[in-house]
Amino acid sequence: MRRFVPMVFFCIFGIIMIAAVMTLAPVGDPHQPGYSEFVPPHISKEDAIKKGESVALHYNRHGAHETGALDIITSTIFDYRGYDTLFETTVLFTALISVLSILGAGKE
Amino acid sequence: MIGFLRILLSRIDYVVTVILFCIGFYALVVKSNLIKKIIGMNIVETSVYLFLIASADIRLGAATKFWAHPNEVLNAAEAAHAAAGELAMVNPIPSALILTAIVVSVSVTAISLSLAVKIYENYGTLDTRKIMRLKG
Amino acid sequence: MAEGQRQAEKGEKEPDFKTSLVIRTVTRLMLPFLIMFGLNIIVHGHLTPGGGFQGGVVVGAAFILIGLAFNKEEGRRAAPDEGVKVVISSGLFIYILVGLIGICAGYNFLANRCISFPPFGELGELFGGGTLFWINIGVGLAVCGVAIGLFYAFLEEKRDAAYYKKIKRPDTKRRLRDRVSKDIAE
Repeated sequence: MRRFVPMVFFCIFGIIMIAAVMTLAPVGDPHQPGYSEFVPPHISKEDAIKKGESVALHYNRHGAHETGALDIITSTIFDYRGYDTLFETTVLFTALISVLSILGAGKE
Repeated sequence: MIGFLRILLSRIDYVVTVILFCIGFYALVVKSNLIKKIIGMNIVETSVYLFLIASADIRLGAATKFWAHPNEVLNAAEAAHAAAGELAMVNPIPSALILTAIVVSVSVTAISLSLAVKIYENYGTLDTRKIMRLKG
Repeated sequence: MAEGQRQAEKGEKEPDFKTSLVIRTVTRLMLPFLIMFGLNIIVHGHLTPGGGFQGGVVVGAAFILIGLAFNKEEGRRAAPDEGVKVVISSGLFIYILVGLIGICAGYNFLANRCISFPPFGELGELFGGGTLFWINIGVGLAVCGVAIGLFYAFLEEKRDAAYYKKIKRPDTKRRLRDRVSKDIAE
């Protein structure tokens, strides 16, 4: 019984989530909103193109020339989001310090 | 029915993600061993990575690398894109975000494992039900 | 842990555990190549896939392999505690320093490409990335140190007999047995 009830719950949960996932764009669709120019319904396509391109397309097209890195992911991590990565490294540092202080290693 | 299957197959990555998420969440909720709970947490994190990577994919997309000479592409798919005038590259942002997420997940796993070690030292067990009973 | 604790309470020493000859020889052979591969990933982070995080983990894994294939003391000699802390701190320091150079040059924090940071090459060359090269090295050092530090923090968890005598452990086994027997009686 202890296993059965959560199992049924997670089956229902999974079915609901699969139903939600079905409404997304198919995998690999080049026109999915995350990749292509995102056009809100109240802006015409021409206006959106005139205003600019999506972030991903901008990174892919101009990332190498703007940052000097051939690898677009490196340019994204260390240049466009460099501030984010600085604090990400700080998170690692803090994790090590907290593990050392929890385990009490290095003492006695 | 066949239409439904086609929709399902075109989003099969997301479906696998949901299944992985449910497995991890089940382990997180039902298992009473703390180490198994941590493993379940890692499975949930992995499913999130898979979801974001799948959403970044683009059909026949090239790797996110600057192609100085588009004619010297590596495989047929990239050659087709180069012939069409532009190389379609996959979305670089989810990959970058997931690198961040992996680092954070490593930190969280390390801290939770060290807490589990401390709990074992103090209580002599990792079973959450026994720990609750000992406290109450 | 129960076994190790009992040994520790008795004051016995742990029996010397030795891995097989194959593992030790292969580790000795692989070690320089592992470290060089990791450094290659770090240094070419902005030219090829990979970067500071990935390369740092590879270099860290090389040092973890010493601790696994030989023993704890050998690994500690290769990566001493103070050294690891210095490496992590210097990695973060390099990152912040590179960011501050942008401010000193009159641009934003972590500005890139607009500052002609010492050697500045063409796109696709090693120094063509401006600050990215130095940031990759800093992150690589930090991640390498964190990987080593976490591993040895967990490895050195087992304490000696004096530690276990000093802390007052609640007798959990007995309390649990009493509790369970009471539950059953009820």
